[in-house]
Amino acid sequence: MERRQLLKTSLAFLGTTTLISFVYPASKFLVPPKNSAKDTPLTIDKDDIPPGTAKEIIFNEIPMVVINRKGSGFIALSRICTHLGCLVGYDKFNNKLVCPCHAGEFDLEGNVLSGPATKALLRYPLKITADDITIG
Amino acid sequence: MWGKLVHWIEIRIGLEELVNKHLRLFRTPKGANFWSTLGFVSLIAFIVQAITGIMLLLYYVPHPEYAFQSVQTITNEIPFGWFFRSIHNVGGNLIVAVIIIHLVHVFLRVSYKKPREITWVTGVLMFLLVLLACITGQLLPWHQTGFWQTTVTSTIPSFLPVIGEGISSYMRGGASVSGITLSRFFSFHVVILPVFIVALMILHVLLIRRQGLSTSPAVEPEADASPPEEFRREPHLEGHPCFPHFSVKRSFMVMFYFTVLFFILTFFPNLFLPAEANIQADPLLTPEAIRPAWYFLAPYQLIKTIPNDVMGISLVVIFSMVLLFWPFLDAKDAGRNIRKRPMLLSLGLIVLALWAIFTIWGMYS
Repeated sequence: MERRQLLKTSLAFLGTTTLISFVYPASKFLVPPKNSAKDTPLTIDKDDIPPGTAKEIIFNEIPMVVINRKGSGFIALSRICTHLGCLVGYDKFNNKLVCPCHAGEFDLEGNVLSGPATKALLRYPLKITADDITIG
Repeated sequence: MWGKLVHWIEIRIGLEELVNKHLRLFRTPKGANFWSTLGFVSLIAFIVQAITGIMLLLYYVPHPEYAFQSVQTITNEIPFGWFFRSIHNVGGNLIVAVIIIHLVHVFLRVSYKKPREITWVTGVLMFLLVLLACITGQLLPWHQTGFWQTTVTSTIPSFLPVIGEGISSYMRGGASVSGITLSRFFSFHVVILPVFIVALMILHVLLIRRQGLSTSPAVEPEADASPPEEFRREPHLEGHPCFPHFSVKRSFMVMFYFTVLFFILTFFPNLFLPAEANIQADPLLTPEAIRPAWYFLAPYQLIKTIPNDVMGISLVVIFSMVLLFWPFLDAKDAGRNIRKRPMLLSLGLIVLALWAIFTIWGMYS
């Protein structure tokens, strides 16, 4: 092999190695970090949510609403509208959840009543004891 | 497959013509050696700093309450965060070293003489701005070392009469180093200084492309080295095309730069991170030994040694000004071969020796 060819091959090898040494760590570095708050349960006092009212909370960085439905008990729903991601609000007079962006409406089970959304709101499991409600 | 891809690009961009026009037809002079590649290595070192800096920005929070924790998270929790932080930290020191060697080489070659005065001035200005980028960067992790180094650095200008206090106050954004200082240093470090450095870099490279690389006075006969009276691009017909001849040398030196970078990263990862760099900044507790970075040790020790503070800081300012405008201060009629200029050679060596002595003195004092 000629001297110049050897030099070129060596440089190509070293260059590729250096590039990989940057690109592989960069691909790992750019992955969003895990949520550190994950798996930490959140407990709410039952008395904070009398029947017919709701409490807005953030769990695992997800905005949620815990509703105490008259006759049906507690339910935890995501507040993120399944249409374009705006946050729905609890309308206690009409017993539904309303999205302020495009007037999407959901019932207290999270199902779509009207508006552009086609999917139901995400529902989260709850552990209910005598005094508390625990999420997660 | 490869050939097809090259052909596809060739039709659209005309890569062959681009390479021919800007690399093969651009000739490097006879005697252009590995030292002549250091400007290019500095450029690569700057690009490495820019890329790693942008990556660190993804997780860094420029607020006194969160800055330290965000840097700790980058180092300890984000995958390969330690890798990019270390490259940025070590690279920041290496770029200064590369530029210093480049400056010394250009000085000893007397390449700054007519018509290359502006090239020298832009180069020294870039060097000073890189030093400023280092000063502003050291505060961002909000650790004890950076905080107190910044306190000391921002106090030094206050020794200057009349304008001194104003400069210090402007740097800090107040009477002492605080969250306002962090915001100011952050914007200078990530936006203002890089913009100026890139602008100067473009001008620097443009001038080199227009004038051609300077020939070594050891190769070029003194008679041919007379300064031109009108613009003349040095064609270097006696030399080699930039590509592939000189490009291979450049690539070799870039690889050497990465070798040094990774060697320090592997065997001396804390070389530029003292123990205090792992402690959050405490404005009420000064660590026992606060020293500036190695490249500031010489001026720092000089100011410490000279009993009169005004004289100390004035000497540093005068030296910087002389360095910046050196091409206009050097004897106009003198030749470029430094071996035939013992006074200039002695001056250069004395300054280098003094710089080394003051640096070592500052390290152990």
